[in-house]
Amino acid sequence: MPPIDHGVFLMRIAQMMDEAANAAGHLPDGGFQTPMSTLNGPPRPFSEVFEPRGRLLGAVARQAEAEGQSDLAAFCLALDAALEDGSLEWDEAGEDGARVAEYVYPIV
Amino acid sequence: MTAPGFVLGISSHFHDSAAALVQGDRIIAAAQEERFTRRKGDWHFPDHAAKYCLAQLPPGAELAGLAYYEDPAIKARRIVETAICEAPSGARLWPRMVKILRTLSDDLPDQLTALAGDPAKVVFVPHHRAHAASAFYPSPFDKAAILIMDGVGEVSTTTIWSGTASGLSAQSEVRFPHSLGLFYSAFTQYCGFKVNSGEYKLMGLAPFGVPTFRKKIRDELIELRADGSFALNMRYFDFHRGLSTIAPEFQTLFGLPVRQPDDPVTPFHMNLAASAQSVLEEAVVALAKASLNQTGHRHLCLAGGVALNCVANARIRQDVPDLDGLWIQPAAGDAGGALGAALEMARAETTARPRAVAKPDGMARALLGPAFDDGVIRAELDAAGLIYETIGDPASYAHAVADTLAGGQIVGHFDGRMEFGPRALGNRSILADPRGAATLRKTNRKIKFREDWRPFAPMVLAEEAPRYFEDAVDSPYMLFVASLKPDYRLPATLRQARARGVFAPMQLQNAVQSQFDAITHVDFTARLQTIRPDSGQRAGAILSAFYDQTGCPMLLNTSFNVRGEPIVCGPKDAIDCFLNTHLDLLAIGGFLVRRTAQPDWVNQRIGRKTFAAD
Repeated sequence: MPPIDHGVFLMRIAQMMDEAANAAGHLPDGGFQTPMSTLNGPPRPFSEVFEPRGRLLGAVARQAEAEGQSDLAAFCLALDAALEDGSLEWDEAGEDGARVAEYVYPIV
Repeated sequence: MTAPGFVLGISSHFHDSAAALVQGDRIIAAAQEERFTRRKGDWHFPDHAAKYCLAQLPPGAELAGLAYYEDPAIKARRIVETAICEAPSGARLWPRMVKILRTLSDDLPDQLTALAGDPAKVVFVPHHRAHAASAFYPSPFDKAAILIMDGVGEVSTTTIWSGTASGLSAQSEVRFPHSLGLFYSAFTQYCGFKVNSGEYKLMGLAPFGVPTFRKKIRDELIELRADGSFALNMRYFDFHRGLSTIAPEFQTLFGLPVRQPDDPVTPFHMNLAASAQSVLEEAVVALAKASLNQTGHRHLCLAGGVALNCVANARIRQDVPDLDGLWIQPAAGDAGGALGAALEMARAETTARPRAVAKPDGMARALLGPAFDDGVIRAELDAAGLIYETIGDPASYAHAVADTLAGGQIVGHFDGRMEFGPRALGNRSILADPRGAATLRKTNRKIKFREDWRPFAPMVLAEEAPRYFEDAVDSPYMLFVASLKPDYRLPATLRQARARGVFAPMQLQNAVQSQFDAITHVDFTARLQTIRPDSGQRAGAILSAFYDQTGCPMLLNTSFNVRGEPIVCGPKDAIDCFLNTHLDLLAIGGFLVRRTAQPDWVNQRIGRKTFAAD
């Protein structure tokens, strides 16, 4: 599949996440929180983290669905499908400012 | 009871990838990928480091398991949820998001499976749990509070744990985007240093300044709460939705644009660094107190990148009243996550086995990397066409190196196993006489090719350290600062220098002097490493010999590399560094390579090899 223009890339992502973004809450508050259960659980096996089909976002989607976050689950599945079929391969030459400053490490 | 199996730990795909091999609580090997690939902070999957670790397996032994240092599914979910929450304003981060998700989804499972041989052998340890394991299991404590502070793992940015004979139990956490590590990185970027590697420069710049912005930072940027926790005012930060750590409002708040890397460092930057450092210290001390309160323990272990801030670490020792002991994982950053993940998996497999509490600790002085025998070293010296002396007797060798140091020359020292973690602790070190500002200037300008205001650290004989430094404690990993006693300081102070109108960092550094100029900062502190002559490290024997000859029980110790280069790993790296710099002597294995004995072409190689600035 030929690489897409950077603008098209952004538009596709925006369309994919539209419903999930509308349903999204806000980022966690500061201060101490009760630890996530995974911190005190046993190390998770490969088959659980990557789901039986070996897809990371598939596992995330399944977990989100189980928690009633179907919009998030749908976005993860759409994103995963796009990663798998190459429809999000973009022309990096057209990317808008890969780094604002070379001296900043991407946090993602 | 059968022997516990061998577990390989891996950290990768963010920064500072590493591998570590353990058997039960015993750490067999650990190394960072950057040392092999020669790419500073290499984030790629650590194929070379893993290969080195696996080569340490006994003949016929197999891996029982492979532990990865974070849970990629939880991390992927945090990345996706953050993008959704911030949309559409985070659009500039979406390309990075897709790239990292593709890597975690497509590359990582294949890489782990190929290494383990069977996906059933692979487990994922949460990022902060891996850090906590790296901090507690090798510590000398049978029970302790554990405080982890970093940029971000999956979701956690700060966690407090209780460590006991039965393992680790998370007590509380602070979640992304509220992060002390990223708070400090924001100031690192604003002051013109590289995020994720320049934080130690910000820490080094802080003593030059006065914390004049402290109130502004406390009022606007970060709320420090009574329970010891904190919250960032995200209006001023951009790392959760953009390509910068700081939002435009951050620059507006402080009134100047971001300093560019080659711009001069002004009193503004010094004061800002001092202010950020001061607030960080207050936050860290509060978290340390909260850790003891929440767990009821009186010993504390630290890990996570923030635990490399040795000034804040010293504040914990001074300002946490109920603290009986403090131990810090020397590879506190993400490299140490590989070790912690392996230890955690090994513990999970051997819960019936009591944890062995090692004294002084279980890290083997962090000498966990590769060693090279004299045959290999000699072959490299011959291949390079260098002229060298061979000295077989260890005492004569130490004496000869000490003699060179006492003569004011600078030595690249390479011996035994490479250190694991960011600090060179003697085996891959540049050593020099710490007395005199000329050493500081020469080492900065002609050896390290770095900013001339940055001080070096001392390696001090452990038994002599209390004579020279206030509150000196055993510090084998260079993780605390200590103040030089007034007897060894010269009269001028930083305040007096400022009053005379001196503001440039190097001028300030020159104005404030001590008897050990090359290793004391402008506030007379030093990042102390203590070493015992009976440790078995040759650097300790060299220091003893230097003490015998000069009466000075310390040496300047800095990592064996130039600016932007990973610390040398093998003999060829050391030879290349010797050829690229003005080092006077390369002390490597059983050989001495003196610059004065070399043919003319050797000096023509100086400065030929450059690395991307750090």
